Amino acid sequence: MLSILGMGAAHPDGEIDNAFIEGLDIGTNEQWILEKIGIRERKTSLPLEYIRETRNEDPRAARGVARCSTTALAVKAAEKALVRAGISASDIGLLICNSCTPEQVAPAEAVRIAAALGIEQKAYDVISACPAFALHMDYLSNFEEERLPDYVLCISAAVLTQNVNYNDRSDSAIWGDGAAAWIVSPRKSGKLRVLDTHFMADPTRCDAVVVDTFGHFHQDGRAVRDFSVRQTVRLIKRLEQNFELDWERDIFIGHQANRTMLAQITNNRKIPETNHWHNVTTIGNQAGAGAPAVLSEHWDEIAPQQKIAVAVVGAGLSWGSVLLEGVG
Amino acid sequence: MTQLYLSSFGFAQPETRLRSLSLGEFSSLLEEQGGATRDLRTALAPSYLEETFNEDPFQRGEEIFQETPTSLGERSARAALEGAKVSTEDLGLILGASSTPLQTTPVEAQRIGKQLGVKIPAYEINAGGTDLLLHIENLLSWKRDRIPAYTLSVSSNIPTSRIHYKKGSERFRFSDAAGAFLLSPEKGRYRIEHVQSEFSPAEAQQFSVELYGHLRYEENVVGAFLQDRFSAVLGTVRSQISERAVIIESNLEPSRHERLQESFSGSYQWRRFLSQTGDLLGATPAAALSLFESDEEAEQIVILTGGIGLVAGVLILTREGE
Repeated sequence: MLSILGMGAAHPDGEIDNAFIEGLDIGTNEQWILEKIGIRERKTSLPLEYIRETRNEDPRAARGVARCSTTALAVKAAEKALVRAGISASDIGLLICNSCTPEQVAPAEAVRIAAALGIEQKAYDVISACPAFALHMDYLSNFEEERLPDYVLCISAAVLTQNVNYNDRSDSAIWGDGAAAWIVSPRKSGKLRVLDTHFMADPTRCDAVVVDTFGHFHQDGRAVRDFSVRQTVRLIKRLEQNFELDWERDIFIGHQANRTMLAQITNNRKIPETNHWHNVTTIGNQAGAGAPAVLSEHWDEIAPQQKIAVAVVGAGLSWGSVLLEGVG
Repeated sequence: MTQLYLSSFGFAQPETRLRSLSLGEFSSLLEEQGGATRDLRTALAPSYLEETFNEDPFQRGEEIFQETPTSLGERSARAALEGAKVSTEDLGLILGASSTPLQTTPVEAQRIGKQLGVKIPAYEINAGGTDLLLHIENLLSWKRDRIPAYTLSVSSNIPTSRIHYKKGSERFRFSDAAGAFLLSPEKGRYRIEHVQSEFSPAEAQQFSVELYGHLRYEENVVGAFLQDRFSAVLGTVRSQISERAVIIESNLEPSRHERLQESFSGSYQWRRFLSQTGDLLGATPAAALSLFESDEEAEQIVILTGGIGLVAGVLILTREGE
């Protein structure tokens, strides 16, 4: 059985609040943002003056002024996860990474992170954007346990504010930058054990969310929102049917897309606010880093026997879930 | 341990040959070097390349591409499916990879999945030079009940879209192509005897593609790495290689290839095609089979491949009876 031994998250210091977005004069205001997506602030690796002056019309320029990169955030998150797991980088036998904003297109982001951490082991990217936490856990659960090393470092990191066109009122309000890392072991027990994993995709709808290698993020917002709510509810229902979930005790973490969407989901499944962990309101949508970053933030609060249902959706279109249980 | 078979494979290249284009000094040098024998292909539109030499690789209108990683990947995938007479409905998983994607999201596996019209898990496992080998290595490590009846593994790359055709030795080396493997735990044309890949992240920057830049390839470092690792990996699998095996290696320049061959003595038949097709990145194993499958001596095929990562690996296949 897989266990998670430690987690870490990292975000840049820069902050875009709703007043800043309102000041861009792109047809939106704080009230509209709070009503539609419920996000108050987002973390960014870009200087605010750069965004204000250029609107990031040419994302190439963003790389030149950015205060940190995908790799740098990923390394910070990994270092925290290693400390929590009580191991060092030299213990890692495999590193897998998910990113939709890699620092280079080749080699893989995992390779750059491995080089930065001094890990000379297998390192490659396993990618499906936002549902990365479910993909990585489901991918690792495919393996015969003896074929995995003692410690696997999983990472999801993205600096999507560097790919946002800040003339677009919807995209401007959504995205934040962040990285999350977690250490998985097939043999060593840890704070969380993995009870169930699930991952699925519908490639026929993959054009609904696109990040051009050289350009901006764009999506079919309405289609993605409807898909996200519907699919997340299905994922939770599947877990409710197969496991004894008690929402007075257990925890739900969804894809950190937007707060309004998450409220629709928790209302549907009657999940009380106290048992819904999230960080999208203050960090923004961090793509695949969002859900594991939330779990990392609450690491010290996880109680023995408490189940944590993580249901994530996104580009691909793809979706998945992980059911975890606190170990006492 | 799970048994895995290569049911079929597909290989696709763009139609446009670099030697057919008017690229000034590059064309002259290619001819002087016997360019007619190095059949480099490009997915870029001839008019675009002749006008701009791809000096600025950020020109990204659809009109500059005759093919994309997705269209090449789809063609190679369909060839693999047809080769095994397997329908898209029989697929259970697509693993994709590209070191030169035009979009980071969705990933190449999902774009190819869309073209094939399938609703199945599809995601990227990107290992640079050994994409197809890593996909096999993964499946061989999975629980039997997690391996679908058919998995499509695709590596599709257009490195010419990241090369400046006015300067650099890279312009003489790389060619665009996609390779696809159709893998099954039940049956296939080849039984997979062994697969292995090794990574060296510390040296990775010697072979890289900047997000907003051109491809960089340091032959001295990468060539030495590959020669050294190929030699080491052959040493570890010597007992599994038949004296009648055909060993295919197509990353090393001739002098390095000769030294590798000398370091691994035996009655093996060696094949190489770098001087014919150029460096095809992750599609190399599929190209090797495409070129040498009809080789009657090839009861056992050993493919050495590597590159971006830096990675190096070996795949040993034994032909199954009809």
